[in-house]
Formats: sequence, structure tokens, C-alpha cells
Amino acid sequence: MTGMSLSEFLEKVACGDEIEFIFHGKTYFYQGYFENGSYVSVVDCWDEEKPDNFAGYIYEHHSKELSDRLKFFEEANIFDGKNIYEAEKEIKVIYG
Amino acid sequence: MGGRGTFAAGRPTAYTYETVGFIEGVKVLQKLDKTASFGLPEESHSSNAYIMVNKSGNFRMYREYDENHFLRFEIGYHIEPAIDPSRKPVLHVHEYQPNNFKDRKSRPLTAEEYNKYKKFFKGVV
Repeated sequence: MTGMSLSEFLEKVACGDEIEFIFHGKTYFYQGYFENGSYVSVVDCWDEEKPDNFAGYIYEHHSKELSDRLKFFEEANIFDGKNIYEAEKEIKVIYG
Repeated sequence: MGGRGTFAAGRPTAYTYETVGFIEGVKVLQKLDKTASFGLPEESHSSNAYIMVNKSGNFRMYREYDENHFLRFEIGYHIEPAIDPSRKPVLHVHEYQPNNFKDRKSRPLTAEEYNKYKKFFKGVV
């Protein structure tokens, strides 16, 4: 991973901070927030050259426990079938 | 400025940002490490507001901090599909409770907020 360390990236995921990063030529955007009693985490993905209209997040998770936010993100295979640990070497963080 | 909670906890931290300019009297910050991602600190040091620009020098983020250096208010300009699903960059606000980052769901700017802060919005269409 370039732009920040993996440990800092995961800390930001746990806190719900916005992170914008590039993986395999696509832009990914992570953020977390609190809504209706749940901790929500979402990941959006688009082609930077020609972003199409939003049709839904590639990842969305709601949990009652803050600790679940990172746990479920770590397990999500949302990076062309890879999870964050498998994909991290090819990730470039732009904003975060 | 260090990481989250370090200023408030009184722990000395290494400076990781530098001032690279001013927009209407507000410091524009960049990370000292030029290979690092663009960003702004979660806590302030000597100022109560900072601006981040993108690599083109256009507005990306504005942050305000309270007297205890905690982040309280943020304006971002980037794709936010919850506000505009066309995937055009859109101005939006995040508000924070003292030392609590969990309540940060975005919302559009009010007309009053836009008029107050528009002087910072270089490159915003």
C-alpha cells in the first residue's frame, strides 16, 4: 500500500474516516457514519475516466457494535475478489 | 499536528503537516511526506481552521476545530452519492461531536453556509 500504512488505513476504517484510493485502475471511496442506531460502513467504486451514475455501494454494512465495523470490512472480498489484506500491496491511497 | 487524540491527551507528537499557503487567511496544509495521501489532521494545533486542496490546487476540504482543538465541522468537495447520485463532485458538510467521530453523516450545505464559506471554494463548479 502506498500513501499511508495499512495499519493507519485500518484505523481510519474503524473510525469511519473517508478514504479515497485506487485499485486496479478504479477509484474506491470508503466512509463510515452513525445512523438510526447503527454504525454504517460503505464503499463506493467508479471508473475515474468516466464515472457512471451511482447504482449502489459495492459494500454496505450496518452493525450495532462499533468493533464490528473493522471486523466485517476485513472479511469483505470487494477488491476484485480479494480482501483488504490480499489487495493492499496494489492499493494507492489518494485522500485520507 | 499528530494523530487523533494525541493533542488532547497532552502527548507530544511530531509535526506531520506544513503550511503551503493561505486562502482568505486560512492555512492550506500538506503532509510533510510528499509520498503520503492528501489529508487534514483530526485535531488542530495553533489554528481553528485548515484547508486542503487537490493536486490541481482546487478546493477539496475545509475543517474547523473548537477551542479544545477537536474537529467540529467539515466541508468536502468530492463524489458523495448519498447527496448526488450522478457522481459529480458535490459540496457537503460533516459535523462532529467533541472527540466523537461516529456521528458524521453527510448533508448538503445550507444557503447560509454556502455564502459564508464560498470564498474558499476555488475550482468548485
